[in-house]
Amino acid sequence: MSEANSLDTSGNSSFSRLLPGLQLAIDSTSLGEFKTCPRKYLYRVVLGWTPRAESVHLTFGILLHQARELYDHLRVDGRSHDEALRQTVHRALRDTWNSDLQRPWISDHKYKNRLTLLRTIVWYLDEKAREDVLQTVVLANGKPAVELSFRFDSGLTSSTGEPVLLCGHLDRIAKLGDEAYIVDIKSTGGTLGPGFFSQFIPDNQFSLYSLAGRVAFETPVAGIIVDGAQVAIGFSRFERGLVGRSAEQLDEWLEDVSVWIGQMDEAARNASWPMNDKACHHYGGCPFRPVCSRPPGARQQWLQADYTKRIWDPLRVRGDI
Amino acid sequence: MAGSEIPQSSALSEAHGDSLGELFSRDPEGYSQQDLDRVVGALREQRERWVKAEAEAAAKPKGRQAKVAVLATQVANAEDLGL
Repeated sequence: MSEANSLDTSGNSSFSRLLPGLQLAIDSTSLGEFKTCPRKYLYRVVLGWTPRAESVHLTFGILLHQARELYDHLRVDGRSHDEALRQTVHRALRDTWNSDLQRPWISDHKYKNRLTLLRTIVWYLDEKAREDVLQTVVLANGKPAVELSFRFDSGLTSSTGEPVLLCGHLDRIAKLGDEAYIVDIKSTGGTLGPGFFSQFIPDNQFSLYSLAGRVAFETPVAGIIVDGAQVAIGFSRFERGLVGRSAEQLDEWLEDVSVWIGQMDEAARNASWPMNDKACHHYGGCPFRPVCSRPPGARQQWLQADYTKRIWDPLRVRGDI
Repeated sequence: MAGSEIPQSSALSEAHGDSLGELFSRDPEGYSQQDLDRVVGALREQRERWVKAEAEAAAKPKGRQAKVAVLATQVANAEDLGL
């Protein structure tokens, strides 16, 4: 815990200037990590460590989201579906090419690799974007409502007297008839169906998005639509589902959040982020399990050897509001 | 020696089953519009084959569905393409 004892989070704009380690602008990733395991939150969010080898699921998801984002920009710029698709494919091919090593991105995952990514992009855009009933909202500045950054006051104040913000980035806002919806893509190696969509109720990320949709934008959104993408060895299948939240559910979530934020505050004041050893094996295993499994005195050395620093600052704006 | 030259045709390379693999092994910075069309075309073709196999599997009696579904998943295998 040597690094935690002499914390310096001044390089991250989402943290307090008065109390190092106290996050004041909290997104769903930060909150989710703290809920899962305060020690994991310390390593990933407070200290900014990330495994040198990025998770294939994360890489695949980011590339799929970026493809949809670029496609929407090109369509709003007036490109045809085929032209936008061609450019999107080209970008995905370049993004999965290591120009230093002159070789493609190599994934050891059976389902999620370069070919299945390209296939998923082409099949998804042909099936769900070519003649989509969900029309991406065009903002006043003429740009599509994709990768929208949001932030709003949670109504909570930290022990240092500073306001606590909730923030994040939404994939896309689209209209179905007269109503606006937040649309997000989620890829899975499992099958699609009611079981897939039920995992998002309750869900930390989508509860925050639902709340943001109601309070952070001029036009309140009616709900969240998830485009599920099943990625298998020989095919990609897509299904669309509505992920709803009632006002009462959101009130309850916000009440719970105030408790969690209180615990985050306490952890920063005490410079103590306890390990939740019941979460080490969730989702294929925590990426920091190799560190936590070492004696406390050896952990810093392991972090420096196998992890790299990447500041997680949710206040960095990605798109246009 | 013009008469002895071997005829060149892009159709020949397109006929190769691994033409997508060959494209995927090249630096995409150098892709032409035709290369990109070939990638998109090959992936769309895979989709057509999969949709057809799915429809056929759905129409078959239940006992045979599993076998047809397995065949459908063999449309493209990343390892076959050297990825």
